[in-house]
Order: sequence, then structure tokens, then C-alpha cells
Amino acid sequence: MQMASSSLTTARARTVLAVFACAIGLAEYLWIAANSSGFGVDFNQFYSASRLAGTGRLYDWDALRKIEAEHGPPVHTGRLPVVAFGVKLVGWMPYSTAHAVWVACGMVSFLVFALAWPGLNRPLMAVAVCWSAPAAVLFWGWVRIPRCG
Amino acid sequence: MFAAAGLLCLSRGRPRLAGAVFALCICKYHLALGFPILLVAQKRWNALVGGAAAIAILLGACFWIEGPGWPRRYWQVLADPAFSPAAPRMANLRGIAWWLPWPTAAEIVLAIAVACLLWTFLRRTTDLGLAGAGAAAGGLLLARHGYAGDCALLIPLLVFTVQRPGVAVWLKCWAVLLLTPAPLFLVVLVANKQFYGQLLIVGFVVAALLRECLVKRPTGDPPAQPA
Repeated sequence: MQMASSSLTTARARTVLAVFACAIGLAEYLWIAANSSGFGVDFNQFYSASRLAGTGRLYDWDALRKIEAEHGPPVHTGRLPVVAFGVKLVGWMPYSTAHAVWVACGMVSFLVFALAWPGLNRPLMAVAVCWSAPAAVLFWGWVRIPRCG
Repeated sequence: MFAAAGLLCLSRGRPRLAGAVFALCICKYHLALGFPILLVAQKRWNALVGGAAAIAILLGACFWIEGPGWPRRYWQVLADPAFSPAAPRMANLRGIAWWLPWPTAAEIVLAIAVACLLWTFLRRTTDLGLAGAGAAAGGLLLARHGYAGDCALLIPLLVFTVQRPGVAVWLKCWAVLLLTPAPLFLVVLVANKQFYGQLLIVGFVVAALLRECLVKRPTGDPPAQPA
């Protein structure tokens, strides 16, 4: 009985610790979001490429650059036609709405990534995802810190 | 996400569906090179057939969408230096090789070595989740195009390294270090010092895979079985 109570306390302590660690990691995300310089660069590329998918001009840099310039700096797309065509699911929406849906879908996919991977310790995975700078970069772009050296 | 869902399907005995789900990694196929290696190394033929069929359908759809000339136009984009302008800031073998003499030859040699290491690791590993984590991390290293955000693929291998008993403390500490933003800041922000960040990331993956290859499997531990 005493052992069961002790293990319950340990489990609770671990959960509290995991939640605390997640909160610190999420604070890092928010800091990156506040200082982000590349927010939506990749999405702009997908959104613009989806406009061209199916026209035979998906890899026409002049056409793509023109569409991308409406929402940010133009970058090349290396997506296959079927992927760019799939983005039409959000491509019909106004840009800001489509971007919000895209970020929400990204968060859901990270949740699936964390929950579905077989054999992982879930609380530890939650902490790792919340602490992950690459994940933050995927969502918010890179931080606006001057380069050192 | 598709990799995780594919592994989940495999673990639940749905290999054909798993293959089809793995095929959806086509959205960033250059980072998913480890998964076909996983399926072949572990002789998961049903999943491989499912994946190949789905890939064939998706590639067929590409022709339907963009016409017969799209592979040539696509190749031209990939060959354009403006497509991958920052090789020294990539946390993969290409990034490492950029700093070495004869970078293309160095990258080929490193890629063959990592592919062989990954193959050996996948042949020995019985834990499907760990095998998937190794495949994802190996794919990240082998990719010719990948930046800071793509390092999220390392998370499962880092977590497995921390959570598994019997892993050396120094390797666990290395994993914890990589879970912090430090290495990425080194790779992306510190001019002319990116090599150390790349070495930290690539070195960890190699060390973690090598550790699994060298560790003695307990007797009675079954070999990797296809689902």
C-alpha cells in the first residue's frame, strides 16, 4: 500500500516536472516567434506554387517569383507537382487564413508525430518537442539575431 | 508525421497500409531516404510493395498534373545553385563535406559509410520505434538539402537515447545537449564555426547508431522481424 502511494507520488512529481519543462520550452518558442524574421517564407512558396500547379508552369521561376513577391521574398520551390497540387486544399483561401490553417495543421502533425511514434516515452517526447529549436524554426522561421564572428 | 504514422501501422501489423503511408513522405522525399533502407534491411516486403505502389500512383499523378516534361524542368530547378544556396549551414553530410577538400568525393564517401552503418543498425535492431528513429536520423544526414528546421527529425533518436537503459552517460548528455537550441545556433548563426555545430549533430547520429551496432544483444532477443 505504502509502495503504491510512493510510486503514485513519484509519477505525479514526474508529470509536474514534465509540464514545467514543457512550459519553459514553449516560452522559448514564443521568444522565437517574437523575434522571427522568416515567418511564412516556406508557406509563401507552397501557397504560390499551388497556384501554378496544373498549369505546366510550376517550375517557371519568373511566374513563381511574381506570385511569391505579393507576400514576401521569393524562394525556389523543390516540391513535386503532386505535393504542390495538394496544397490547393488551402490555396483557394485568402493568404492569411490559409497560413493560419497551415500552421494549425503543422501543430497537429507534430502532435501525431509525438504521440504515434512507437516505443517513445510520451512525457519525455512532449518535453523534447517543446524544447526543440528546429520545431520552432519550422513554425516561426529563424530568429532575427545578428550573426556572430 | 507520415513516418510516425507508417511506423504505427507497421507495429499494428498493417504493412501494406504502412508502406502507403510512408509513401506520403514524398512531400519531403529527400529527408526520407532512411525509410526504404529500413524496409529492405528488415525484409518488410509487404510494406515495400505497398509503398512502391503508392509512389507509382503519386508519380503518375505528377505527369497528369504538370504534363510529360515536368521531370526535365524539375531537374533544372534542382541543378540550379540558387536552389540550395547555403550548403555550409546544412546539418548533414553535404554540410560537413563543404568544409573538406574535394567536397563531392568526400560527400560520396561519407554517404556510403553512413548508409552501411544505417543498414547494419537496422539489421540488428529489434525495436521498431528505435529502428524508425535511426532511419529518420540517417535520412537527415544523407539528404542533399536540409536546413535547421529539418533537424526536428532527430527528436525520436534523441529521446530514445535519453530514455533507454544501458546507454552511456556521455551519449545521453550529448542527446540532452542536442535537445537544447545550442547546436542550431552554432550551425546557423556563428559565421565560419558552423562546422562544429554540424560535427555535433552528425557525430551524435553516427555515435548513437554505432553504439547500437557494437552493443551485445542479450541472448533470447529475437532478430528484427517483418510485421
